[in-house]
Amino acid sequence: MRIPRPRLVQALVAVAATLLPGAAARADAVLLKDGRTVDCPKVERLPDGGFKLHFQNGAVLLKSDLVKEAFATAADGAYVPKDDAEKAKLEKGLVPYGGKWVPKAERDAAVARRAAEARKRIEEAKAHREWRNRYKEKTANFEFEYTLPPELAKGYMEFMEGYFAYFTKTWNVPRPKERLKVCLYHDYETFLEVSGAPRGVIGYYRFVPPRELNFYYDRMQPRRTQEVMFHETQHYLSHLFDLRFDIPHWISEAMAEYYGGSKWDPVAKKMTTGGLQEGRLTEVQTDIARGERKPLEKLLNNSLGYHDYTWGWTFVHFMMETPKYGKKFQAFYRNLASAKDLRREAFRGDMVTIPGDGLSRGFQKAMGVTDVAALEKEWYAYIDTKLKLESVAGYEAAAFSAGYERPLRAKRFFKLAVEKGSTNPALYLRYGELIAREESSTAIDLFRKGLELDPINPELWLALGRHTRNLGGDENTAAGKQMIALAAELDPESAETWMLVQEALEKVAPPPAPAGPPAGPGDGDD
Amino acid sequence: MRRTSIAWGIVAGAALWAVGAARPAAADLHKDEQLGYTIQVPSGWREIPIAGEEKYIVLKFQSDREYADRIGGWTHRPELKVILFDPKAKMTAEAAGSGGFRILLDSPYKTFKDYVKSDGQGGRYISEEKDTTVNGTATTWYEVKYEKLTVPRRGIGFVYHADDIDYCAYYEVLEQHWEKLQPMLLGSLKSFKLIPRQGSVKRETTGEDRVTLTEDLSKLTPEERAKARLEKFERELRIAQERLPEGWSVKRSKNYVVITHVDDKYTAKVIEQAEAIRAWADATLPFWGNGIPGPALLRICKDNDEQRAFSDTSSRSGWSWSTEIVLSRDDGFWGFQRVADAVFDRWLRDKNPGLSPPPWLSRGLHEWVYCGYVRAGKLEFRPDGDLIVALKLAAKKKKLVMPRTLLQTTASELYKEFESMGSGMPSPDDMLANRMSPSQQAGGFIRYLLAGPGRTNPRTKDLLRAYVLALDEVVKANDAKPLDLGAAPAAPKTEEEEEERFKSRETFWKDREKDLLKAVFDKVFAQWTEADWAAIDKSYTAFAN
Repeated sequence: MRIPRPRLVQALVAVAATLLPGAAARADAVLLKDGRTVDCPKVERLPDGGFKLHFQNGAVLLKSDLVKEAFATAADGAYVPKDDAEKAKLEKGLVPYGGKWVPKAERDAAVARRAAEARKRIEEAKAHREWRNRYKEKTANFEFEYTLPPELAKGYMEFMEGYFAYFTKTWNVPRPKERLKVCLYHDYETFLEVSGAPRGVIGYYRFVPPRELNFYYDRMQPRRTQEVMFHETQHYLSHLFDLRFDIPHWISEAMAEYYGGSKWDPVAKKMTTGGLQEGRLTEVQTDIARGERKPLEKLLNNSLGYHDYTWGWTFVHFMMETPKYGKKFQAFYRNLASAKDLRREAFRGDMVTIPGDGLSRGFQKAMGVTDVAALEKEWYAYIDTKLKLESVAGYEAAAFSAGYERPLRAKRFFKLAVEKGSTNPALYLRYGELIAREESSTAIDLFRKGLELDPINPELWLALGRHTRNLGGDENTAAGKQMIALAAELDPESAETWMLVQEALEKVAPPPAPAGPPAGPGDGDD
Repeated sequence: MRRTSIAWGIVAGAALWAVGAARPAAADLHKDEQLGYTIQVPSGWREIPIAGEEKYIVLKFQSDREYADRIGGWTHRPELKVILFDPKAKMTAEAAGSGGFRILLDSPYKTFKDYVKSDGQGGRYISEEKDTTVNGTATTWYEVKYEKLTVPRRGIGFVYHADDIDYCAYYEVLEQHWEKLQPMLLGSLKSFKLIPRQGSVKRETTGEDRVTLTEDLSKLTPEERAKARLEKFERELRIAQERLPEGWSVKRSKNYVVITHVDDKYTAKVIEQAEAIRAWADATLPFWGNGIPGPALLRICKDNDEQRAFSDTSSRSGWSWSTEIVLSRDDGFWGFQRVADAVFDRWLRDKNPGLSPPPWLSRGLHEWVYCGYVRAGKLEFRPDGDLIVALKLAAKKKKLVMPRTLLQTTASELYKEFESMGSGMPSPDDMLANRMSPSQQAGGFIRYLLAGPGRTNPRTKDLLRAYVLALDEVVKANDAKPLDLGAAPAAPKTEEEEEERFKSRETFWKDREKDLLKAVFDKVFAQWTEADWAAIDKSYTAFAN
């Protein structure tokens, strides 16, 4: 990884302006480590190694640890000599470069070369975000195709190989004849467009030929990317038990969620399972708050549908993590495709599966369960007493889930997440919006904190702008409007950002504030 | 790998040029003087009318031939679309509706990439992109590959950059047939020419004022509403006629206008069906409201492919509740059912836009009308097989939902079975339960009232009228008073309080619906005794059996 040296960079900027007369008209650019590129009128390198991006409506500061590459065409200013000796050298036509004093022409040439290379790397990074220019790489067991930066992709490739080794060994899985194709996208919109997944799906494993796995990099929640990766890979690895067997939905998804909570230590090369899926736990807790508990009988009969991901996960966690059940449950799962006492039926093409009632009976027999009601009670108690939200991710999930309908609960969890050091910019945005009416200064601090984490986030600039303007006074109004306009500059193509900008500038009416009962059926429809 | 792909790209480009130099074997010239262009279209392809709400697609032609995907078994008819993009277009937003409650966002397509991203079906990406010139016009061509979770296809689009607008001609074919069809498609695309424009690229569409009109209608008198609707209808008809290609004709009847691409005999049958259902509704349900039902536009396409192509509008043209009822000749008998249902639906809305009937009434009436058909000039209502089976099975298994319960069942209670549907294969017991579920039985009481003993039974022969009038009264009274939220509820002070309110809010609308049904029920059946109910139960059970 290249670390720009301030002196070098200042020289680069100065020379570039000299050598490229038209450079002032070209946009400068920055490539972030998360793969995003930002074009702006001027990029200024700062003495501390960071960067200042100058837009028409304000400037954005980027710390050096966020930036991979920067290209700047305009000069920042001439070198100021420290003493008479340096002054004399400058007068002889020498300039400082790379720790030495060299003729200006030599420095100019080197700097121009570096500038061109930086620009080229930025353009290449942009180009690789097009699927036709995707990177392709083979590892021992997978063929990766991806559009995110290679340094990021490498981490996921290692995760998957580590997971593959662990799972195939633990479950005695036969080695597949060919590598699985894995497609990894740099953002959600590209994932939707190229993978063909409907909105709402965040990853999938295609289990019929050509088999492949598709998911995307969520830069705001990298941990979620890992969860999805583990989840979808688990489908693939379990499918290797028998390619002609379709594992019934509830146990397939619940087990995938269980493994979605795994952690991989790349240094120790160690997998730890049994981690909490706190987002799912939050959903279960919300159901319980509503007075709903899903019946075990329906789960075992494969009748819960979506709740296989949430309640199903809690049940599998209960089974796998409870010593008296763990081994038997694993054996039941492993033998689904082959156990002779389980009736299988045609599913799709030449595939077979186990129908709901057969699955339930098979489970009870394999686990030695004679009283489903008693087991259900035990399961509910496990959820209530053993599954707790503890991590930043859990607090974040609980806070987002509570949303505007349960603001007190949301505030508690937002506060906990912040105290635990959340680095999710979206959290600071939502938290700030939630408390802005009563605590405007605190809200503004939260937006600023979010911007420290993600300085080019247009929604945070919008929120900061709107609430700064709402403080009143000419100065705040002007500053606020400028921040709002800056948000539009940061994301000029997005219809959502544009709408928010229009609403913030009062060019359209805002949506009605949530109050009273929620929207009912037929509301808002013709 | 990248070098290979670039090399492939160059080779492919050269191949396109070489082939494209030749004209297609047979082609017809399409000339549009209003928009100022010509293009060769493969010979024998048919022109598809452009829907009234369509803002961006200005031309559609469909292949006369179907192509099969030999692996998946799909069939596909290639189409040519000409689409207008404005690279300088700006997004606009305006508040609409009487309270400014709705925001109408207009986000025009600026580029071909925009369009593919927004409207493409299935996993897709731009696989090639190059600048060129076509007949003196600067052009960019694109190749699009559709690969994941879809039928493999290839798209080719040429975007011709005029001074003020971009014209895009776009074809999409099955991947398997790409090599064979390429010469023909490229010949067409490279034939595009700009000619002096006599009209404007900004075309009138029917989508405007939809929201405003819907919201403001409720404030008008029935006569004013009817007049506003008629004006809207006439405008939609005019635009539809302006966009009609050759081969289509327009027929009028008392209440309907039919734009048709099929034979006169079928067209006449469709008109007869529409008028018969309308007349039945007028005669049978005059008490539904004081509205004046207006005219409607029907469109009969030659076949399902033509219907699908017509209805396939660009996503940013906005969804529109069009007055057009669209069907195709391929629908045959089922087409008449759909016409009956659609005509009746519009009649109900025109007659009383504020009345939202409970599920037993709504479903029952629609299922009844769906069975209506004209035979020898007379409207008849045939038996409903599914309903008969549902009622018989339910009666046999003693799971028949009696009228007293049915009339107080909310939608969520009725359709509860769908909430608990899992993802696995249903067991035989589940399948049986589904066949006689409450939702399957929902239409039973209406059929009892319109065609069963309920029609002549003194207790029930006027029941439908009494119920609808009471329902209208209760709904209007509810709408007139503010929602009963208690005395301006203070914000909860603790999380426990907040949880309780959250729980009760979840059931708010269900409870409200329940209260409404009960209020109507109490009003209508205030004088009924247990003996009355016992008699109806007995009669209904006999009817079900």
